[in-house]
Amino acid sequence: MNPNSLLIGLAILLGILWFSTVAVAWLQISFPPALLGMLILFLLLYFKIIPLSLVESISEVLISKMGLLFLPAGVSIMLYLDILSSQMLPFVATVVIGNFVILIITAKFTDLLISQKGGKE
Amino acid sequence: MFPEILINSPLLGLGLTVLVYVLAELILKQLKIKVLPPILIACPVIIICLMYYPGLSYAKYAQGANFISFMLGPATIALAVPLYRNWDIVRKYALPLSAGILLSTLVSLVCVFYVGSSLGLQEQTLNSVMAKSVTVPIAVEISKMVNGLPAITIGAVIMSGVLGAVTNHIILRLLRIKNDVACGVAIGACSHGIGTSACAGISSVQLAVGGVTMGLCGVASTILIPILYPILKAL
Repeated sequence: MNPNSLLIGLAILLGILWFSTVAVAWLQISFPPALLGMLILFLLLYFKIIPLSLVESISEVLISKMGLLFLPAGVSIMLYLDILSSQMLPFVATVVIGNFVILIITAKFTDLLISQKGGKE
Repeated sequence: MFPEILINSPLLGLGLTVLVYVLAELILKQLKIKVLPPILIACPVIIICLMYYPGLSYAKYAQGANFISFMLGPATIALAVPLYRNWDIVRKYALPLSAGILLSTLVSLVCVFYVGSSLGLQEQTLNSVMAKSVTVPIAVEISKMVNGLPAITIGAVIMSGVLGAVTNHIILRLLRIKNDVACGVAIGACSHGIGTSACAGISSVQLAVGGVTMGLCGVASTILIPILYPILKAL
């Protein structure tokens, strides 16, 4: 991980974000520019237009320290404490129940799909 | 601690965010706590500073902190790298992965909507929790698309992740699901990166499948939630 590859990587990511922001505005679609950027970077890597080594280091830094990046947005929860405190229980319950239901159904379904496919072979 | 010259400078937001985050990381490392993300400590510390120190406010903090938030864009784009690295896995398990991702996105949508609305969540809060199983930067974008509050979304997403990191493997064991691909898809789909990182010492297949699922679920949710959620609301 050297300073050069970090800076080049950042330049590439910002360049892609620049392009995808303009593209989303120009096409007038409601799609997050950053997510379009992710798809673009994937295609650039997949078709070997950009070598992985150029974006590898910066991606590792950004992804492993993602928590730092959404800390300010997390802090902004202080502006909505009154909204949240009045519905804390349903809020927590929705997340907890949602988690269990999603995990159980997805795991059971995928497991069944894989074992059935295995049985046919 | 916060003289005037600091309060009116971007250094306040930038400095406070980075310093407190690094300290929180250090504390968790010292205590050898792996399941909790540093933001769980850092966030309340900063909020308390901003609320109780005279002259400080979220607006002052945001002047500098917005630079950090901005980097979420490049970080989201960077998610393409693990997806590309593990593309062999996507190829190999194309059917169970795509079916699992599609199903989980739909189940999440329907389940969160009905549980949330029947428990009496206000509309804006419900909008904010719809994307609770997607990785934070993408969830924030979805939240904005459906008129949610990104801050509340982040709260729900982190809760989902930490809860998943602690309980996922216990539940999967109770269900007697041993297939690592099925486990990985379920974990990545329900508790994104935070839950998936708990697979690290357990199975490298789960870790890779979970990571890929997390990215693809983000894409599926960004497309499906803004289309299907208004339909559910209209029913």
